[in-house]
Amino acid sequence: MHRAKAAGLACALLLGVILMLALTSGVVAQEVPPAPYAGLVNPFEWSDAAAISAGGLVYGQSCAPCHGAAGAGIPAVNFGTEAFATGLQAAPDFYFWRVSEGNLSQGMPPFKALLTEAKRWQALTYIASLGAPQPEPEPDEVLVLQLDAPGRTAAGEAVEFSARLLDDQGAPVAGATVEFFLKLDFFVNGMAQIGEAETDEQGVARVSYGPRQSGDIAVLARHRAGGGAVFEAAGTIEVTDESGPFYLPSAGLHADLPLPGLVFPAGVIDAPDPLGTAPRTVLRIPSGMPLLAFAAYLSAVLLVWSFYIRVMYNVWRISGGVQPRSPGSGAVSVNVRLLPTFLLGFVTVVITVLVLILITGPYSHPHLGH
Amino acid sequence: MRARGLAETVAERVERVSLAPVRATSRRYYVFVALLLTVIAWGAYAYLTQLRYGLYMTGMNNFVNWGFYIFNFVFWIGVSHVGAVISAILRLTHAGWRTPLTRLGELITVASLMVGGAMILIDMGRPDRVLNLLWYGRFQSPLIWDVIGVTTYLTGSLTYLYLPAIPDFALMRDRLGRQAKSWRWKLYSILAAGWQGTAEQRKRLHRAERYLTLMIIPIAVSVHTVVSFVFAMTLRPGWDTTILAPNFVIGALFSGMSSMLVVMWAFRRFHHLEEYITEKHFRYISYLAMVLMFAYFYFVVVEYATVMYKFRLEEKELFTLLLAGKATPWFLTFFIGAFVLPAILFLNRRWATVPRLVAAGILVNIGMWVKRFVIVIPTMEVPLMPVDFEFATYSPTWVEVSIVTAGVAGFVLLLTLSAKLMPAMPLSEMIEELGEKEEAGGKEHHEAVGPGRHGEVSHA
Repeated sequence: MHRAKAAGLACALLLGVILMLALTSGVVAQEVPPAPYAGLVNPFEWSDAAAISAGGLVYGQSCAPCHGAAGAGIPAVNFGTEAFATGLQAAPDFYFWRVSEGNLSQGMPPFKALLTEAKRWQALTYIASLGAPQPEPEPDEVLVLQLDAPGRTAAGEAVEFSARLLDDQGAPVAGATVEFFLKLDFFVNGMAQIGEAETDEQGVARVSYGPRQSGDIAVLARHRAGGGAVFEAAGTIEVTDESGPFYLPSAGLHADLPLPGLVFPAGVIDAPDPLGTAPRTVLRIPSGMPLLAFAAYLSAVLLVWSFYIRVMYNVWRISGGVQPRSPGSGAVSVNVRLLPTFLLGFVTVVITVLVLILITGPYSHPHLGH
Repeated sequence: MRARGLAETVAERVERVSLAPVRATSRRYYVFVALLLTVIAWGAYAYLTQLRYGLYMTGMNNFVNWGFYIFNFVFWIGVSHVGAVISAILRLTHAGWRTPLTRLGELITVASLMVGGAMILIDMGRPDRVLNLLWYGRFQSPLIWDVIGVTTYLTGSLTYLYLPAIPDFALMRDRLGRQAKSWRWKLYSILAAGWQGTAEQRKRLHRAERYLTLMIIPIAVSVHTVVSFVFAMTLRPGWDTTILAPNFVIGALFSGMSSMLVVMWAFRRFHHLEEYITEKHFRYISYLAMVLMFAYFYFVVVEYATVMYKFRLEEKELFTLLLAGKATPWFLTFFIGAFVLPAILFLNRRWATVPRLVAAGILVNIGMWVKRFVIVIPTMEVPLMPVDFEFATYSPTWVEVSIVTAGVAGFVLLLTLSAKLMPAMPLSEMIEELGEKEEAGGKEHHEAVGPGRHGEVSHA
């Protein structure tokens, strides 16, 4: 009895220790990033305004869809808090690793293929600035907001909207938040926010966005001053719709086939056509001859005409042998082989001409193609 | 020719009837040929005018640069497919009833290929540039495929016309060349290439015919396919559709069958072949034509339905033009002429056979001719610029109408002249078949004149 009790107590103790260790390891939230990410530091200064504004562009395109314009899109990692900014600056290598390799189990995609290292660091710099304490609200003054929207773009192509905030003396106002809106007509009808940016030292806030809809679209920039006053500027952008709504596929085949030039012309077949976007036929020869296509066609022609030659040969053989007896008493003979010989010769000449047309064509010779 | 006192055998009768047009020429014939030559001469004058003043004399312009000549080319190449069906397909299926019609089918093919080819050359304002096809031809070009295809098909059809005619030429050499020095004996001797009907010669002839029979069907299909590729390989809405190739092939077979009905009637009437080309033949050809009509209707409906379901912008404009615009009368003419009226005529078997079927054949030809117009010209009239362009217009001038009419006259002339050169039916084959039937029928065994015994029958 006494021994069983002791054993049970030992087990409970062991379990408790294990549990505690597990719990404590859970508390240590951050893992150590693996090489080559371990120990990396931000090449930019955390307060580098150029890096922050460049990072803002990257953030707007790549991060804002999930993390929100202010970084509060995913509550578990709220960039808008000071705690997060501090943690980011303390362990930049961990967050750089997260951005580069992603964390797919939590839904974070890897960006190392999409963004250069510089862009990733710029984004992190910007993210750190999100948690920085907000600048003091501007005094209630008259501000002027100017919107600069590019005149036109094609659907799917990203453009940069920029807005300049000036005070009544014409001096630029830095550090102000400007929201950008686009009039969307896609399930919702109204002004939808496409991004948010802070004005830099020149008072310019920039947002990058690729409109998807075509037509004349209204753009709006808005700044809410600390006192509640709202300053807006409006513009329009013309978005042309190309062949498809969201993307322009490149014509031709992408194929890394063995023996390039054998099946299709060497290399990728979608080299841009200098004249426009007409798809280029597979049978063209930019460099080297597509042997199989040409050979197939030539063989078909030769096969058919070889049958003709055999037919004419048989006719020629028909004409051999007995000469017809000329009726009556006159001994006139006629060359009965005349027509079959002519036919055989004719067929041979025609097939020679046709094959020569095909073989000597300007783009049929390998060394002539370029 | 025959022993006196005995009735004419079946074989002798078919020979007499078939060779009668070759032997004697009526005044009516000369008048008819003179009429055709007049039409052709007027067409030649029109062509010389076009050569002198350029294509300005036609109705073609910057927008519609393919006009009457091109769609007539397509029409004639389409008509030419009858030979492949009658001679080749029906031969492969051992359809014995087709024997009297094979020569007519091949004649139509050869004549229409020649007229069709001429249309293309006429379409060129600078015909000397045809040589560029030889010097600079590119195998990637649908026009080169056209040249090679039509040349191949014309050679094959001429050969296919010639081969079964060799025994007939031998027969005519022996029958009609009474004098050694007569031009007929010389001509037919050359054409007959020494045919004596020996076993070895027959073996070679059958072998050659077999090769051609096998080849001519894929060649015929490929020819109208490459003709369709001239349109289907472009990006022009209305032409840029994958269904154009089968559409053209089936349409060609359909027009060919219908031309066959008309030509059959003409030869039957003027050469008194009623005993050999019977109502049965008309009905059987009309069955083929009907099947092809429903098939072609299917293709037309499928082509239009898939486009009209979603109506891209340019195709919407094209179909507005076709169904509710300037080209609607043409479209309706095609529809009624090629489908509605012929269907009524084909299916109404209570009416007299030959008149209704020949009328159907004529209507189909007119309807399919208009369809080729509808394929080519309204499509080119649709503006491709995203600007509010007016539709281009095209109307043929007297030059084009004259030349196209001369083309029809040329086709008829080729058939008419061939009637003087060779019998309209494959004589030797018919003699063989009728001789076999006669023997099988248990009639008295006459000295059936087979191809192997020409030299033995004494001339009267």
